[in-house]
Amino acid sequence: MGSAEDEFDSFVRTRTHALLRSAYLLTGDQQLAEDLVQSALTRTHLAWRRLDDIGNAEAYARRTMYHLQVSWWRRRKVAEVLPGHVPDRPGAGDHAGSVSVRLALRAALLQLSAKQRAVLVLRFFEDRTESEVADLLGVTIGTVKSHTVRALSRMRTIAPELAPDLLDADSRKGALS
Amino acid sequence: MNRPGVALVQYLTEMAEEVHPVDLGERVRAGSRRVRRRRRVALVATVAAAVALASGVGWAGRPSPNGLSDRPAAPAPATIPAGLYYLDTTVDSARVLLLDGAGQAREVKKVIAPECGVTLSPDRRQVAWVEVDVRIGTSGPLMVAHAGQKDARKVLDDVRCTGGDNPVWLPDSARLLIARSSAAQRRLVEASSGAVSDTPFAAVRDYVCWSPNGQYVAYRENSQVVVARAGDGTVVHRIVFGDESVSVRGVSDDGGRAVTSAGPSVIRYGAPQLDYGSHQVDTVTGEDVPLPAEIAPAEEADAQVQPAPGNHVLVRIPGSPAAALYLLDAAGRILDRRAEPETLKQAALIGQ
Repeated sequence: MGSAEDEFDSFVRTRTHALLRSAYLLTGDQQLAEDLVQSALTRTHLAWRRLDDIGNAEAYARRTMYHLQVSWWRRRKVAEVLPGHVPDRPGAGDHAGSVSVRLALRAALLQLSAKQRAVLVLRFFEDRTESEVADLLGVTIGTVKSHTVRALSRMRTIAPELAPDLLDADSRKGALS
Repeated sequence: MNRPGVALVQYLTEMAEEVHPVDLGERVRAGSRRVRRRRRVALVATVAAAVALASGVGWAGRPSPNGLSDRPAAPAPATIPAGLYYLDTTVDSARVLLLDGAGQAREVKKVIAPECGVTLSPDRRQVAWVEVDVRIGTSGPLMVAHAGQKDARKVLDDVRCTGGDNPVWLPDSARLLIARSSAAQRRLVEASSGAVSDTPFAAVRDYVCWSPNGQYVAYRENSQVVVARAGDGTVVHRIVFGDESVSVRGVSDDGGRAVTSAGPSVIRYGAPQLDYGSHQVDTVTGEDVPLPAEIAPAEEADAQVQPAPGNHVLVRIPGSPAAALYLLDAAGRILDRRAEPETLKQAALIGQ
């Protein structure tokens, strides 16, 4: 195995889970998240020798993942259908109220368009600036702003119980830019 | 439940922690090998083009045993049709929309959930779907309704809807190719009577698509793209594509080009039968057929390509700022272009 292959294997071993976490938020489903990351990593592997700097590999993989998610899943009902089960692994410090809000959040997220969901995940989970999100998704900053506003507004409509946290998100949105 | 002060970012982080760690290394390497093989495109078993052409001449215009390939040839229009049909799906319903030449979209049929695999007949007069909630099942009754009318009728029970084996209209708009949970073989069903009959494509469980003129059928068989005569199923082209995750979504009127998906063919949660792909391949030489650089999106998967009459292809680029729809001839020249209303960006183009 050549050194490039070793580097790629090391990259996959160390970064897959981080990519999976974002993919899970984008898709709401373990299997779909795995498919998405696998496809993004496959394309990254094919481009590996063309990457100027291996340090940019994760950025390349993430960019590919977001583009794939928006295009592949655009026509699918993933956005409208909840997964058939509720994951049984609670987060740290979880309790009934938190679980309830997370379920509401999941339901609301999955009813957004693929691009709206991508913008929210990039802004609030990956902590990207509007400029970075625009660059990653290949859209204008204005589009990122409008997607963010519409996504938060739609989530408030879908899950009113999230409204306080989304108001919090509104203020954070401003702080991040 | 209100928990003021707890930020969205915290919930997202907690939700992200639900994903289970997996080792994707082997799957990624296998996928990469498949793509590389596909790029090399080994041509293994192509019936000589001359033979296919000669046989095509031999049977063109002759009535076929099942009436699939006897459509009279008509001059192919060099413009995008004035009327285009879209499918807009939500949690509650699937709506078939007609975009007219004036750029106005109107609803021609609304199917209330549960529904799966909503598909429009080639003559645009009927809509078929499987009445099943795909969260809890994979098969249900096949329903058919006339466009513009509210009532639907049940045609057949136990019809599958899992993506590749969704019901597909035949070019005659009278029958559908279906799969049933209780049978290993695919069958044809008459939309008007529910009568079931045999098909040459009984064993194909993946996407099956007809050319716009109804003369050819294309499908994937293992890692091969197969083009066959619609009438009797005789294979005329077979190329190794090298990627078993790709499905065939269209074939040109001459059978010489197939449209394939750019991603996995497994479609979950009952997405509609999609009549477009993102990639074109020459079914005689096995070579890729690229889109013109002028319209090709950065990501191939962002193009929606579907065959159009006369060996043309209709290309939809939903993210294109200038125009969303392009009609290309067989040589890849742009014959016509049209913008698409913003309101249809999230809908699927399902008929020309």
